[in-house]
Amino acid sequence: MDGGGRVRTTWGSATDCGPFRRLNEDALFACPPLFVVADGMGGHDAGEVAARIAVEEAGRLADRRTVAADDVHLVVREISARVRGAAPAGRTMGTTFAGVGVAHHHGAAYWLVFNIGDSRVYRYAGGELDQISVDHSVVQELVDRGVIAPDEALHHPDRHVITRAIGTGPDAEPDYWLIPVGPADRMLVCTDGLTEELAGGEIAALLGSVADPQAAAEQLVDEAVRRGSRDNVTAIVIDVVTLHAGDDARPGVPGELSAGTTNPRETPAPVPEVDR
Amino acid sequence: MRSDYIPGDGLAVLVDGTAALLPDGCAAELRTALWESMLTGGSLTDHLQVLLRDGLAAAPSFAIVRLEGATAHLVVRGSAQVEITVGDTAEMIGAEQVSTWAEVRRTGVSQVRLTAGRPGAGAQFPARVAVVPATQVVLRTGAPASGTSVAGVASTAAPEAGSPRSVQEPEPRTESPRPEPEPRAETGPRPEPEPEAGLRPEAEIPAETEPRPLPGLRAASPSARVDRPDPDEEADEPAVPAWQPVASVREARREESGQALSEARAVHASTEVPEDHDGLTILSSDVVALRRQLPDWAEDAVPQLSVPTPRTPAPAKLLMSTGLVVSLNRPVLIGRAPQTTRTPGGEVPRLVTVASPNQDISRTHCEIRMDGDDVVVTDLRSTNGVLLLRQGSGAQRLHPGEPTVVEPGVVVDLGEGVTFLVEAGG
Repeated sequence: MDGGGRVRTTWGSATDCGPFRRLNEDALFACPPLFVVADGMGGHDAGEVAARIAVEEAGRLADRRTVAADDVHLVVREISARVRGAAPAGRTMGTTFAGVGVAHHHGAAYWLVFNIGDSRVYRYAGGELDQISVDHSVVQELVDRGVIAPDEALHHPDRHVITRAIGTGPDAEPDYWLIPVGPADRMLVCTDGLTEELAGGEIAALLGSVADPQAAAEQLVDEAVRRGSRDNVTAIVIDVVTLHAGDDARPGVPGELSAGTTNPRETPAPVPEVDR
Repeated sequence: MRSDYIPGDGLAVLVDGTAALLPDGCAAELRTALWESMLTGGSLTDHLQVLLRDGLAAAPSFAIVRLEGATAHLVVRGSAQVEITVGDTAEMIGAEQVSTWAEVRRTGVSQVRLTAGRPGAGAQFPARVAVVPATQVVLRTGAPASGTSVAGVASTAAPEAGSPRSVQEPEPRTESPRPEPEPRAETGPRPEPEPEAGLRPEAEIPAETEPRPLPGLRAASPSARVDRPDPDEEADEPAVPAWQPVASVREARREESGQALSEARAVHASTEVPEDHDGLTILSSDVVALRRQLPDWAEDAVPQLSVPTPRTPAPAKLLMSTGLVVSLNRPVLIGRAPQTTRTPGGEVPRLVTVASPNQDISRTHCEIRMDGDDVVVTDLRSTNGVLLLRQGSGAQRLHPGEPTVVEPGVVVDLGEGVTFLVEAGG
């Protein structure tokens, strides 16, 4: 089944403690088919430990060719158990967990995007930057309910208060998205240290102008640090290199037709609609 | 145990030893839900779940307390305030400065007063089980009204005459989980942590040395304790016992003396300094604070958030014209290049890609899922629509976006020769 729509990726990553932090409580894992960031929290080095556990567990999926949501689900369970076990009595530590993996469904290649917390996954394609993941944050709840406008969220005092994380409450369930891989997709996985400093337009401009993914990741992080990020900053940039259409690849795999729009049928079938 | 309320414009719910006060009231459904939750004798967490069911941002101001003997466990949010009396010490707990709430557990409590956070006076009426408009609720335990019994340290000593009062300032000073914009003080010499050492024992954490001799660490967790800086006043304060959750000493001026904490104190020096979170990201999760404070909450005893599993009928199957057989044990999206939007939890739909050389079929054309025993097909506003082909009757076009029940045996046509037959589950 994996003859069609096989994806090869190239990627680059960067992380920086930032000028004000003593510890880097961000961690990342980048190796096909999985690219993950974790933003730990918990005081002292607890956040560091939680984030490291998260990427260690994610690393277990590194030898796969593809990942599925069920795989990620199990990894999250495992992280949750280990983080709880590692937390000293009376202390809580936790971590965000966001990333993208390459998944296959019926011969087509997909980005499996997942998220717990306020780290983010974006897709840059055709000059447009789309935020795929949706934060688990108080501010996002306010935006969803229409209480505040999205641009107010950028400066809202509660913008760092997240409502879901691994290790802190009941077993946290990630949200998932499955998006067909486009031939020229560039994915960005980052922690909030980056999005706090750089606006979407600035991120898009940089992703559009720096071809090498490693250079792009470094420049994104450097720019956030240069602006005096008060948080740790982490970014992974993933590019699609080639889409191998195997021998049995059927027409219609996303890689070939991702930009296509559906053609109306020339003669719509003259049938009545279902009476309801 | 005795409970009284002062009528007013807030809302009080009283069920024996549990009392909730909502200064601004709440919607009728929430009131009913809270009442039912309290009537069924659920835990404080159950009631919290009810109060927070519309999300954190929509949760009303409230104070809720559960008394068990002389132990008070309480949660305060928004404008509500609680005055808690232990011995001859009254302590105010509020949460106006924080975005979540304050949570406190005290033993040796003689009285708990839930107030609307605004002046209110009037006659007190006794009530044990009630839902009443109220501005204040007072619960009295049988505990002695004075004497020092703090936080689980059993004290049978008679009240000392003239013992120094440890009066708490009435103004609430809560430990906000909100991050300070200022990063944690990086000044002063501090040993660099070994990066891979794993979690260091608490005793080695150097930053929390205190400049003044405290007989015991004071809880400065979500509670609103205000420490008087006068050491004399605290001399009679017993040490905070081990279960006291968080003994943050952030308001103590940090002195980088490098001296390790004494062993005894270090055991309790569970130093959670909010600023030292990853700096900015912090968590509002309700269960965080609760879990810390409830030792009887085993990991496996936290069923509140688990989704009840409904009876799962045998999933139907789709027999695709391509030869594929797709089980409906999870929702299925069919299209030329189907994609899912945000899917919470593990129920990620199965994506079925079908060939459409002429692109008659939309990228995400239709969704099929089980609804109880029924198979429901939805045309996801596809360009060319979805047809139902029933034996003995003509083709029918689905209304875009409207879920439609399709019985077994019906053939569903997506265009360009792609069809599937719905087969009942075995």
